[in-house]
Amino acid sequence: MPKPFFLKFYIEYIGIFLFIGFLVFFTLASRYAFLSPANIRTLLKLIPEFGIVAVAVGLLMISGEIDLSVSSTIPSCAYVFSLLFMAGMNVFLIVSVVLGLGLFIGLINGVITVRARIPSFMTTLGTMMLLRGILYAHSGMLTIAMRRYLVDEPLLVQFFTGEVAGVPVQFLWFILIALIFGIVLHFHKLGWWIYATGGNKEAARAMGIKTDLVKTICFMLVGLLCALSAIMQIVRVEAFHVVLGNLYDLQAIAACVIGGASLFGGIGGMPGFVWGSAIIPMVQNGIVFLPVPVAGTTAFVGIVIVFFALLNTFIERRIARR
Amino acid sequence: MTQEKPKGISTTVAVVGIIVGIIIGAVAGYLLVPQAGVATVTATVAGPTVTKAGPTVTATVGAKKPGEGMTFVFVGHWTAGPFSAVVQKGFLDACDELGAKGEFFMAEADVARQVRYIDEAVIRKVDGIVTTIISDTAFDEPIQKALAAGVNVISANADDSQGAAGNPRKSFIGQSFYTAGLSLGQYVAKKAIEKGLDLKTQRVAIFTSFPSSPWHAERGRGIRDGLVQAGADPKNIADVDCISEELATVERVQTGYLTANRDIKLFFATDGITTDRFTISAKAAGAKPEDVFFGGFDLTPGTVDGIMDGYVLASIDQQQYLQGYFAVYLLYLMKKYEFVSDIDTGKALIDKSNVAIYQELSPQKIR
Repeated sequence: MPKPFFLKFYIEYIGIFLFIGFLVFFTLASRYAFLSPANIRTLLKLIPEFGIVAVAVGLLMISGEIDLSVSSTIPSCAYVFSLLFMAGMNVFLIVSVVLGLGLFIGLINGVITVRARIPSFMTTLGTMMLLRGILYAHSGMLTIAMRRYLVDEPLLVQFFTGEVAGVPVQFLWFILIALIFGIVLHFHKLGWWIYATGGNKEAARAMGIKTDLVKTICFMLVGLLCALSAIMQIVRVEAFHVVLGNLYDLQAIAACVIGGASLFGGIGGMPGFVWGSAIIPMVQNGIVFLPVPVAGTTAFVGIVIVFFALLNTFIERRIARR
Repeated sequence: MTQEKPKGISTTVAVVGIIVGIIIGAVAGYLLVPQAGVATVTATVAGPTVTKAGPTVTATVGAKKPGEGMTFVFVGHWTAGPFSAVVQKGFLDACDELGAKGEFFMAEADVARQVRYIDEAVIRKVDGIVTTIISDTAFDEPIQKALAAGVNVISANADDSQGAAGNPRKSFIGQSFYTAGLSLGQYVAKKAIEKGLDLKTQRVAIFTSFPSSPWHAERGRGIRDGLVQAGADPKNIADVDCISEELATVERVQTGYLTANRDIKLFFATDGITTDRFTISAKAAGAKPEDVFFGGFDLTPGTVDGIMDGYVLASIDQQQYLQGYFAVYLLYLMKKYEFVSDIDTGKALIDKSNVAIYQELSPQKIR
């Protein structure tokens, strides 16, 4: 039947439809200024810092959980990075420790959620507040200038924030991570387990899938990519700010919903997460090109998020009814 | 799908919980346990509180400090950040010098929570309260009740728009947002005119992460008046909402705006993050230092770098350390001798000629 196929096709490709739609809209509305090399380079540099977190959050959402601690994990990892850098530790060790810290935070979130069987909303709300409190107390909310330390590490700077043939390295990282996650999600056993866990946990358990382990792995992947995003941001910004990663938690969830994920788990795909994670930053950037006052940009982004979340849910229900 | 009935906490869960609890306790203890000569700091996320552990031992062992036994409370509207960190440092340093106990609360822009902190401090009969008055009406009654209960209240950093005529607080310590904006607008306009910019026809953009905030409104008004006095057309001056204080978001908006409006040469920002990110955004948009005339507020590493690189003409330093520091001494003197005085912490305009000292003092949370 053509209709169900269209609906299924639409929901799987809604992310790219929206991305292309906004791209065309802003390009025409800005008389092609939106596509200027400077603006495109900025987007290619800045979208990935959010995008790599969003694709991991998407994986977690498919498994049926959410993570609100993202906006605390990122500045916490960035803070540890800056402390270790100032202490003169070997760069490779610093990166390893920070990535390990991200994994550990994800592990804590996962273990508490699955073993204590409390909603991930509560667990990660708690860890978000715990991490933020420790961060505020220890850092004194001070901004730490990193430029004078990073000057001595050109390889590190190039590795995370350089350019390859004019393309920002952050974008290459994003593509690589999305590719790896996409292959795992759509072609590997783990991906099927993630879908099964999020789609029907009891049925998945009955099939022998270790749903607790699957969810914990997803939490750890979120933590890992938060740490990577933190390193990218602090190297690019050349300073530690406590507001790094601010609002990433809610925006990542919104990006995944726009990209086709369900808030109840079991639905979503990597292409949608990639496009979805590009849409919010693109809208935030593109709206300034419109010949309208830019006050109220937040409201516009909010309308976009709510509209497509409603549309997404409507289409899911239409498919389910058939 | 029905929920499985919980079976009760298993041994595994209990063991994991104990181990996690020990690890968290150990980490928190390591981070928060006082070291010799350092004040105890504890913070909660829902309005961080900083409590002084007690008087610091001075060189003259046994000498009583003048403020011993007194408690002063600072209730700020801020969310945690480098700006409030300096206010807090000034406040705690003064409490330390006087030997008084200092408590520092941040309401994270929640006025109701801010009022609650004030009420709680009044109930505890502290020796003085300093708060940031970010609403012309919400603080009138709580402060009146505090004064009626014998607790002195002063404002710092932000005040009622009508000053003492609008709120019963006893004094104000801080910088006038309006005069700070005015001096910034005048300074940048002067530099732009010297370089041959025609202010009459020039469009101007004022970036902000908090378009509805009182500091943006007043600073923006001051900037506008400064520009208009120099010959600019008020119809050419526009506010630009940078959406949030998240760094990449601000950069995306600023870069996009600079790219879309290459005819605009005159820019301002009314808060710390939008000032901090401007240099990077201007570079990303392909602008050179001579292409832009920019003034902002506060001093963060990005802003200091921008001044050194030539993208930031000047930034206003509120000298917020003094707002925390003088607040304590004023409350102390008010309690003892009923002194009452407003204190202007000034509008230090920082440019290339005097930025060097900030690179030294900023990490110490003094500037």
